[in-house]
Amino acid sequence: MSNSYRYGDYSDIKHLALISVFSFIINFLFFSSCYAQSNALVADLSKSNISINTDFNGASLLLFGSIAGKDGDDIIVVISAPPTEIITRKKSKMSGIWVNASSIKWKNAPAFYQIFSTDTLSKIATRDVLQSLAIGTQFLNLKFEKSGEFDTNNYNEWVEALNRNMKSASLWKTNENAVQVIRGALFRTEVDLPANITIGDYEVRIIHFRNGRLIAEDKTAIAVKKAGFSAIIYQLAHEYSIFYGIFAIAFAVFAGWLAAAIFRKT
Amino acid sequence: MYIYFPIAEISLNLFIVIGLGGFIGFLSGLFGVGGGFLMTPLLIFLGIPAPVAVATEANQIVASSVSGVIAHWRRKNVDFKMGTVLLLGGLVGSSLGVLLFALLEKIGQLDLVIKLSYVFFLGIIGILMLWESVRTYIRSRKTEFHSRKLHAHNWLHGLPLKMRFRRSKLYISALVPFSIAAFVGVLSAIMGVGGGFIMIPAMIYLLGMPTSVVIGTSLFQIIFVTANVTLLQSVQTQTVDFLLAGTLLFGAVIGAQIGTRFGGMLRGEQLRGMLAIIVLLVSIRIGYELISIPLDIFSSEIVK
Repeated sequence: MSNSYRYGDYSDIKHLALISVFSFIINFLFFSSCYAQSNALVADLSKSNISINTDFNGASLLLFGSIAGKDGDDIIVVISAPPTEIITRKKSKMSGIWVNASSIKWKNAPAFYQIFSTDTLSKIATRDVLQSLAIGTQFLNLKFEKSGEFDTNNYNEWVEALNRNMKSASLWKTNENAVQVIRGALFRTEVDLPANITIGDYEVRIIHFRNGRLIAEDKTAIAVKKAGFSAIIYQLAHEYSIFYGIFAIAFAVFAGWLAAAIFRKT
Repeated sequence: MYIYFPIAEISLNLFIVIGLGGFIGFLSGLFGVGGGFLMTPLLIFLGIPAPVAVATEANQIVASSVSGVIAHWRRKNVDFKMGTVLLLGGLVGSSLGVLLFALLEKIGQLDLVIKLSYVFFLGIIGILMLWESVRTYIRSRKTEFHSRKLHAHNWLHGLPLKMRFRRSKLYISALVPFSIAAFVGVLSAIMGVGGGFIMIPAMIYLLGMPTSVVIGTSLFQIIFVTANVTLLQSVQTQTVDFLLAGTLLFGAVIGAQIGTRFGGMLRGEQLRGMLAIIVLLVSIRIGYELISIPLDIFSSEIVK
């Protein structure tokens, strides 16, 4: 009995060892890539909430993280505001005066779109790869409504104009060589948000490339909100506009009366 | 020190904004004008969207007119009966103006109409004022006296709805001041001005009101017209930036006091001549913008 017991005990241990080795192998084979994927790229922001209060004059934040990478790997970061409507107008000369003659309304253009990368985009990946990952304003798949004398042959002229106008407003920009990778493991980039940004939840995509191929991708977000006194004024103006108008008038009447009263005595 | 204006959605140096208010306030105190016709274009030059500049300036003019009318009221230089007829016309005109404003904004021609109105009306007023002050200057040299009739009688006096305006010593049809005020009201809403620079000459030359009551009465009706524009723009376009109006006002109140004191040191025709030159310069500057080749013939605007 004791023998059989001992035997059984022994076989159980052997069984357990086998099972655990086997499961480890299975685990390694099937899930290792998954671990690698989810662990390889981790990104975070020094600030994920941007408050537009009355002292707001743009914001700087740091985007940083780690990759399971090698020397020579590339990172592309894409920060974009939610799609909104943008109107582009073209002036032409009419009886000596420059007049807005035709316009196009982009239905789904982001009010902010900036790319940060370790290198020139064309060196990081091919056009097809960039297109499949929707990296670059040329791959935004813009929808539009036209009005006035609009010729679809001139479509590119309008897209270029939109790019040019948004770039001069510092809202659309490609910051090449702006991401630093340290020993293939850590990366960082400084993000400057200009003072004219619009509110919304900005999407931040971080993409890790090696030899032109995607290795890993992570996503995070920046919430741009009006805050404090600035938010109160904005909210009152939009949600209680009659009250806001009456208040603005009452304030002006009071201020005018106060000014007259103060300067009468002096 | 920068301050973010929540409706204009722009960050500007606080001292520049107060300084601008102070500078325009100084000029308005010096020349006895509202200053809206200078403030609104300068706000647009600073990068504030035209709709916000126009609506916010209306809000600020409410304050400066209240402060101005109090002084004239104390000296009994306000014809309230005439003022009431004018403000009724002004309310109708400015309400139409705000509707027109929204329509023009929708079709993308608002900036053009604002600029054209500035070039046209400032140009005309500037030339007339300059001519007038040069003439007065020459006459004062010759020390010549002209006996002038109170006002000329013409077809305007044949219209119905005659009313007696004791303070203005007039017996005229209420339709005349009503329509003038309605016309100025439309301009007031579109240009972001009180409209005194058109209203005052119209009151003197078209209605024949005595000069003493003209400014006080004009200020009185401007309060209501600009208050109406402030309210309607608040509701319709949400472009009144209360914080911007308050900041400008702060500078303007101080500037106006300094300007008033300096104004006492200069002669009337000199002041008018200088004002005429400033008005003409603004008109030429805006006119130049319309005819010169734009930096980029394309412009893009984010729809809020």
